[in-house]
Amino acid sequence: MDGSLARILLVCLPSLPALGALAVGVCPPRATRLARSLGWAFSLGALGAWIGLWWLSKNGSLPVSLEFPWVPELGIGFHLGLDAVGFWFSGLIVMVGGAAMIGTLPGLPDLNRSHLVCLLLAECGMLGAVASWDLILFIAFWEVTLVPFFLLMGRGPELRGVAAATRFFVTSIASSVVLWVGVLLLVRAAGEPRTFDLGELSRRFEAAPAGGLAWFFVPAFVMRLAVFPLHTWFPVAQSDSPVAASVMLAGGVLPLGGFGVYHLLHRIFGAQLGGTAHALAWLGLGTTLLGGLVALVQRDLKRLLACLCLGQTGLALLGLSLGSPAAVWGGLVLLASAGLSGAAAFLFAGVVCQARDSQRVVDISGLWRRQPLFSGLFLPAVASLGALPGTVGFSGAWPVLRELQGEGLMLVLAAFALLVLGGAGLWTSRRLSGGVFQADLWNSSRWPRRRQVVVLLLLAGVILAVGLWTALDQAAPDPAAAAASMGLGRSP
Amino acid sequence: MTLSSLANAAVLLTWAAPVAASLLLSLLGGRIPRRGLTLLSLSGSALPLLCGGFLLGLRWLDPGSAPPAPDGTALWALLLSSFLALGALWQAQRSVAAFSGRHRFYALMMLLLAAAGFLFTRAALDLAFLVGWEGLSLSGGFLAGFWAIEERGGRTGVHWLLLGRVSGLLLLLSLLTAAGPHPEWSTSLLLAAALVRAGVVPFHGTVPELGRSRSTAALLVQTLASWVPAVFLLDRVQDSLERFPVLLDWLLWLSLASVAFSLVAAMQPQAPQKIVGWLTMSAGSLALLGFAAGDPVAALTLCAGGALLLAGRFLLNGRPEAETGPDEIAAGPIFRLRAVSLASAVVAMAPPALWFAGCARLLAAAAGDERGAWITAAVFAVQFGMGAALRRLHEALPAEEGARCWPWPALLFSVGHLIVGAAGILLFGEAFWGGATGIRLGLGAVLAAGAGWLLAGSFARLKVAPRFIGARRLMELLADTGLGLGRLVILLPVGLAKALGVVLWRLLGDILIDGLGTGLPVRTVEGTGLVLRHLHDGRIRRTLLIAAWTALALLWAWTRS
Repeated sequence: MDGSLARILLVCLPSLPALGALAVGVCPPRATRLARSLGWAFSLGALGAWIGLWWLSKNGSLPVSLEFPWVPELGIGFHLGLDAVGFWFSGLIVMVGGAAMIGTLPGLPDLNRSHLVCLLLAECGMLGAVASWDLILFIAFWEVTLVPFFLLMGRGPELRGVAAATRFFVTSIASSVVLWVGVLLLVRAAGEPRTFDLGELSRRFEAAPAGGLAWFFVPAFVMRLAVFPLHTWFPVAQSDSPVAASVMLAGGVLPLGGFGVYHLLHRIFGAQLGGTAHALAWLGLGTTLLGGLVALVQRDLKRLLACLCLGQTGLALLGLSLGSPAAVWGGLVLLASAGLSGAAAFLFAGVVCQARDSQRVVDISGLWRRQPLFSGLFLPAVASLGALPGTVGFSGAWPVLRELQGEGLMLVLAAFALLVLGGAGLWTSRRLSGGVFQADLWNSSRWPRRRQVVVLLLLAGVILAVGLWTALDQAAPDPAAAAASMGLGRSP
Repeated sequence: MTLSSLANAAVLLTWAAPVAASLLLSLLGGRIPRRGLTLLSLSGSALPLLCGGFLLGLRWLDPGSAPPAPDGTALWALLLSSFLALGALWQAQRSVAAFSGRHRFYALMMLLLAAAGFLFTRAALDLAFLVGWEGLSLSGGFLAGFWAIEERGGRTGVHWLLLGRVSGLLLLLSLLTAAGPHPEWSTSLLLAAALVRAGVVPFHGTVPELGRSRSTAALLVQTLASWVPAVFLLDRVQDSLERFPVLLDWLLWLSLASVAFSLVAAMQPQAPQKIVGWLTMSAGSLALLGFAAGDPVAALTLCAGGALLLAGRFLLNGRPEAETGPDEIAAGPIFRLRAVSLASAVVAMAPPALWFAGCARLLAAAAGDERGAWITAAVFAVQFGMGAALRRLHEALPAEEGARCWPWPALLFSVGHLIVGAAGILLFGEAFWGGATGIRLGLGAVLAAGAGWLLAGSFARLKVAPRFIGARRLMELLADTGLGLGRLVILLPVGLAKALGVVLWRLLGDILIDGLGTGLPVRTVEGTGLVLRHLHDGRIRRTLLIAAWTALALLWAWTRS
């Protein structure tokens, strides 16, 4: 019973947002409230499905898997599955999706329906990618997310995000072409019978590693993870996109890129990531440094936050590339932190920039006087992006740094990067909250909305709860033990 | 319920009570009356004090029931921090009573106390210790900038936050290298973390910026958030420090340099709150000399004595409030303020005050040290400078009648200073003052303080002769240089990092990657779109024609040549 229920809930995870998108899409154009209610209901339904899976996981129902042949002649199957890592990542996506759904407003009031449909489709695509254990299915869901993001980014006021959306779309497509080639070469190298199943490929290549093929997968994941040198799209996209797109980009797309590194590269090619680990480690470290240093010189608040997110994702990639279970666990936690903190930070920034009608840091000050709770909730998000102790960002950074103990130069550079990231984040928070609040320069309508405060409160609560629990529970944060308990390995 | 479980509950309450008070103040503070605010904020700081007292009594009377953590040093830090917070909050009930949002100010002070309690009750240097360390830094930074009057918002406290981050990172690196093959690295990093947190030279550039903060915020940030945790950390690692003499040498010379710079800076004409800030730096640096001399008890005593002595001065000589309290607070007579000021100065310097005990112990330890002459000179210099500065601060008190002055919290600190010092001598006898040597030298230091007090008055009365102007300018230059050096420590790396950031952003990002790399496919797509649009509009034919004619003309010219 538990197994069947778990499989049903597994299917519901990506399906509910898709059904929700359909339901919202067929709503009458003027039924704004109905559309919004439906959107929220389906998004919260996906969250409910995840909570159900969490409840069942306590009885040992994980990993859960659903598999049946799809195109057997080509070796393509419909294989959905969630192990411990996938389960928590899907939780992150439903949480961020719900936050974006409830906490954001469409860039233009007339776009309410399309705004909701795009959010739901994006959520569906991301959940499907996390739960996919077939390469074709994975890539299908991976590409499905492109269209709703293109629409979300490019349909804000004055069509500001069109250039950024085009850049994101074109860069993704270009990297995906290379990914396709890699997948086809990989399947051919795996031998007969032909299969696209991730578990089966992992078992075949465990005995005989596929040299060099991993490089075909790298561009796609590096691009989505916004790692140097394919990182420039992210700050531009964040600064020019509406709030909903910003929240989903930071909270979903970035972690998904890192999840792809773990889900595909790590599972198929092992801890060395098919020979790409060393290069990816240095790319990740370089991105962390780059993010921190470039954040210091940003005058645009959203670009500044985007650079902080780059810093965290770079460190996550470093952790995933180091190969040891503890470092991989730290990298995955950092991805989750980037998702949670990025979503919270961009939600805050979006609301504040809309109210001020400016994205420049110098134009925003005195928030502590006007909105003490709202501005106070920004601090955990930015502190987590800077990996300050007591936050989930630090819970992920700590094991990665511990694994760098033998690498003198890397440790020094990573520590310096953390210093810069933390300093930039704290400076931003202090700069926005302190000073004089000039009420006549701000929008007179009510901001933030109550639901936005609640969403930010929940996200900040999770950021602090995980961080403080890790610090207080001296036995738990043994990353190697935690990694082992999550079954971090090549096969599910 | 056993004593042990009570003790464990008391340990939890030392930081949980201020957190709860902080939350309640933040959420409900705007709606509850003034008396409720007072009750909530004072009880939030009094509870940790009571719990600390209970734990101390338990440790004294029934050591078997007392939990292993917090130990004696931790209890010292806990009691000191709670007492300082209590006094500051009491003062704040009056000094910021007219400000809207004062409940959030109280909440931040509670948060600072909670972070301190969390830090001091950690049994070992672990992740939770690091959380407390960073928590102190964060709450101190935000407290320092609360209501700070400045042209551009949010700058006060930023340097403090940045230096706090540096000290936190040094502590993190020391935890990472603790199990490594080179234990001296870990100890060095711990020492560096403590010194940066304390704000010794050259990390002292934040001291003058505290002049823009409220006096109660400046008090807590300068004592509770900087010197007390630094001394606490050094006490924890004293054994490790003694294994590496070179580190003790560094500690000695940096502390001496701090003493020198801060005394010179304190002698300059400036706002009283800044003078008190510099004196706090002198007192704290003297405490660090206790570790260098191998007497941690002297260090703890000096830190506590200096904190209590100067906390009172922060409250008496703090930045005058632009808006004074509500009308129902009666204006106090000015003589009361001056009396408390005089009493606190006398009480602080003479036996049996805690400050005297600390100086005497340090002098006794220095007498047996090969570098003791330097330490002795530093103690006497600080005492002289302290005496002179206290005289100037006393004379800088408001002169007019009718000023709204509230001297009682400052008196509380002085009384506490006296009582703890007296308790020490009663419980531990002569050894508390460093024996006969310490008493003798300590009394000499008191005379030095007296000389400073008298000479400060004489100098003020004499017209400064032209030949002294050069010396004063030299001293100002020294102070400015020290201050400039402190600022450079922050500004130089930040400036270099920003320059590198610009290079990476513009050259690498905009030009190389966006221009040549990812920009190329994007521009290809856009160009293709443009061509297709032109074809559709019919413009392409004209353009093609012109291009074709131009190409032909060039070809003809080339063949002709």
